[in-house]
Amino acid sequence: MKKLLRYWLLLTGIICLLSGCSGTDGTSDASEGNGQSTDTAAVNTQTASDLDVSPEDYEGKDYHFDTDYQSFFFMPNIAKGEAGYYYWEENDERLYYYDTATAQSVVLCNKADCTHDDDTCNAYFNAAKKENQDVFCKTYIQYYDGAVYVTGYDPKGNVNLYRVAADGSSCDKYMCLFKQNMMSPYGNSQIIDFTYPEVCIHRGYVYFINNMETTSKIYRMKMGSETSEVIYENTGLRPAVYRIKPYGDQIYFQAGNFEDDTYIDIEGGVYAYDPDTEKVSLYKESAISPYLFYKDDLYYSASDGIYHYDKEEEQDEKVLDTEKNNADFMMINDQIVVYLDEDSNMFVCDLETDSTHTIDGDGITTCLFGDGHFMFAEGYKEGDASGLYAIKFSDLLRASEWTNITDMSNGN
Amino acid sequence: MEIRRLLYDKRNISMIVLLLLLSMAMFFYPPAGDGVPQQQTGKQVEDIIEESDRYGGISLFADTDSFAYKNVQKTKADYTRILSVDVQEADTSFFDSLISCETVNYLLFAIGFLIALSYTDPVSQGLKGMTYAAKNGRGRRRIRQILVLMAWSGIAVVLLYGGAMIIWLLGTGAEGGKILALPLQTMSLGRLLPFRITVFTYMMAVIFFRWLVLFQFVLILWFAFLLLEHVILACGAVTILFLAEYVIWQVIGVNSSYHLWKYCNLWYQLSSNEYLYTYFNMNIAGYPVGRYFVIFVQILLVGVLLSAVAYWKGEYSKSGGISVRISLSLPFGRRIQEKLTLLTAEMYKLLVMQKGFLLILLFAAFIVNQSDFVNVTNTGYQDLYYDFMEQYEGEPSKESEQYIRSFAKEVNQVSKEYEEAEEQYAQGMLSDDAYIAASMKYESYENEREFLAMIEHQQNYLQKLKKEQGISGWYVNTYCYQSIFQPVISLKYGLLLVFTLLTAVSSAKIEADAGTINVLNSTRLGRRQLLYKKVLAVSLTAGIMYAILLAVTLGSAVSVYGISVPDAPVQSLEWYAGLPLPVSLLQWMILYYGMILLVFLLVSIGFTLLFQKVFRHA
Repeated sequence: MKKLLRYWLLLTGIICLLSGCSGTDGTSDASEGNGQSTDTAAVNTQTASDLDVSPEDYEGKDYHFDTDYQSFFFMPNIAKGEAGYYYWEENDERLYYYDTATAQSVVLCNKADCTHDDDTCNAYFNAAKKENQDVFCKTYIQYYDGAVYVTGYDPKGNVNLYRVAADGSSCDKYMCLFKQNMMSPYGNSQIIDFTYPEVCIHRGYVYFINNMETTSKIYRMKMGSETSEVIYENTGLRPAVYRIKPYGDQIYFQAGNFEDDTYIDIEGGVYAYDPDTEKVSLYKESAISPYLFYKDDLYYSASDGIYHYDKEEEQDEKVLDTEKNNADFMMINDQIVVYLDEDSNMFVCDLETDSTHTIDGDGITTCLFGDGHFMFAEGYKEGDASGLYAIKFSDLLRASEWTNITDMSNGN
Repeated sequence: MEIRRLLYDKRNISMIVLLLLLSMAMFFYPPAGDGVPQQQTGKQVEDIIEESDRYGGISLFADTDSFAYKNVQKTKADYTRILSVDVQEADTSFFDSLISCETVNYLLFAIGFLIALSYTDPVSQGLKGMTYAAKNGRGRRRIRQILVLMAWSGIAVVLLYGGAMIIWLLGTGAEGGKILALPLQTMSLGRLLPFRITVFTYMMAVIFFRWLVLFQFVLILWFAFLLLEHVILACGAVTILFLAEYVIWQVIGVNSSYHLWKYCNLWYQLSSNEYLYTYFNMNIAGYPVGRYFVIFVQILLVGVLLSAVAYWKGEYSKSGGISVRISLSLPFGRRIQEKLTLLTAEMYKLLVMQKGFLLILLFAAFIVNQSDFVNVTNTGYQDLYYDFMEQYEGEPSKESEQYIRSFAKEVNQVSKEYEEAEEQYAQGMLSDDAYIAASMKYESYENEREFLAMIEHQQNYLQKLKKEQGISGWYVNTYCYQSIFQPVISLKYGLLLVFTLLTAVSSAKIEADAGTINVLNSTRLGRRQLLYKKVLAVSLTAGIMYAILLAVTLGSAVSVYGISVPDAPVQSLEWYAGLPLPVSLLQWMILYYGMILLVFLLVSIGFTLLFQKVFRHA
């Protein structure tokens, strides 16, 4: 009798275990019921709660947090710090910090008595042309070696890199990149409208493109030095150099020449600069639209979709058909890809199940993508306290819209 | 005895009294621009404490070893102290304006100068040798003098502020007394100062600080006189120090790592009262320290250091000061002096004996430091502008006009295509691709549009010039001339003016110090001839400094921007459109700088004559 009971219990247990094994958790597509899903023909194999993301996949080989450029962000309007993010707000001359531990967004000023509304505030970075004052660029910020770096220019036209302490307690001119002729030819002491250079700091060097020059060059300067060297110059007709993305031990950028005066079609590609050999080589021809490196491989956007390029085999493989030509995109993991349309709607695509979840881009102007923890975007929605929006990577499959950074909480 | 020295100097003491009365009047009738600043009206003490608590939770400010964390904690502790203060309504506007009146600070600066001037020891009168031999004539005398300077600085400040307060009290009576007993936070400027003190105690602290700051300035000036044993040179050195402090204060930001130099700064402390009514913690080796305390310690250190050096110099230094040592080591001797003419003798006295060459060197160093010889990068349209000027600068020609016309045609064509594309796209008659192509092409011509606007502006101006004034202007690259014809009201010219004044004083003082004026007056050449030569010597010295300024200014402009067709009519530059002179740019440059030189020569002559009169009849 006892033996029978034991066998019965064992059989019952086995049956129960077998019935618990399931490819799904029994719920329907997590995106359904959350708003504007475009299609849900198949169920996502990855659920909202177990989106498999490894930040190391974006950071690259031998990534050093302190010294490597954060190329996983689409634009350098935001920088990842030790325990939070530094960012600029549009139409605001202050630098902000988002603390991930407390989910609070603060002005980067530790003076509790400060009203943060004038130039005595630590977080104040003048962005308008004023007499005898430095002017700061609101589209570049980078965390490097324990401090935050921003660019700007002084009244004499010196375009400088400024070093801001991580807690905002100090800001000093660090080095001069170049001197710009700021005079207006009309002789009324006006200063011209200034276009900031494209800058990135990577492993001890500053790389920058002076967007106000007619020639297309990439300069390099050792951090703290006074002299620059040209590491690449595009001397052809209608030249262009853009999208510098340091990754690993290489500096990648795109360069090419426009075919005609419409400046639409460009012949060019992704190039790689090796700081050790100081040589530039063509990495991938015809890759002229947004690109990124994921798990040390090149992915790029083209007119008909997103491609993966195998450098060793020198072969292209189409990853995804996109609705938008030359879309901005990001690889979330081997299975999930996101890309944007012209209205900043974000499409989260599952490559295995061929399903797409949409995140509404209403109020969003620029998506900055993210670092494997948070996805960020800039925009403005009426009533919101901040112009920065975010979605946790883990929420990508269930979020229907962006959350204002001031409304993010630890629980979300 | 030492303390009475100032009283014996009737000229100085009457000027001091006059300045004190003027300053006191300003407290009751403050000049425009000296209004009470808006004082953080949006923040209350409770808000600050709440904000401190919030910041304490932010990871960025949570590192207990960091300045940020310590600053947050200190701020909270400081403001918690005044949380329970009972703030009452009262009219404290007099005290607010007393503190916010910064014009008075400049008058105090002049008072300090006069106090220090009264305590110089002219070497040429042999006082040094006599006093050195006396029992208390060395180091102790220096310390006594320092204490006297401290006393006179204090007397001046107490008379000024204390006098004003007494007058106010007499006007307000018992009500005024009650206001003095109220908490500091009753004052508009004291509302967010975290001290549990009364208005009266705060005003005593203000007087104390203004006294310290004034004493520091007087001490530095007196020390310069002592060290250099040359009043003029000392004034020159202190002027340079002031200018340097001013530039440092301007350039260093509020949150710079070097903000110690911004606030422990002679210019800042003398000219501003901000540190008296604003709560601010400075980062001293990672610790937050109140700015007022840092300034107090800094002044104390300066006082102790300068006093120690002054004592040592008085006690152990038998030979003359720096200027005398330089004089002894120069290869000029009396034999050379005997061979000099009257003019060269005056130049020798001015440049060598009065150390005028050191003034010139100081001036040159400052001017070169302020100038810029770094090459600039041009924008795309500036490059087009330079290219055009390289080819077509000069009289407008058929080729230049043809170039502009064809360039304009090309650029306008692109603009027109874009406008048409916009219209058609709005009407749905154009595809997305075609519209994008037109937009991209339009955007790609931005540099060309900017350049066209610049050159057409110049072209239109030249045409208007021809039509209205009958002057055939030229195409000129305006960048270099903007740099050449800089405004005269600037630091550089201000310094030149001050140094010209010092040179003039120096020229008059040498005979006054030597006590030889009466002897000179009795000689044939010692009256007019000598005066003319002195005027000439001072003018030549001012001319040398001006030449340095001119060389550096022009050198900087030409090396960075180049020079464009100097033989073009001056009216080719739009800002000289109204100049009624038929001269070229080069001729105008000569005239322009010549006029400035003439002004400075006239100023130097005026100063020389004035100080000759002052010292001869002293």
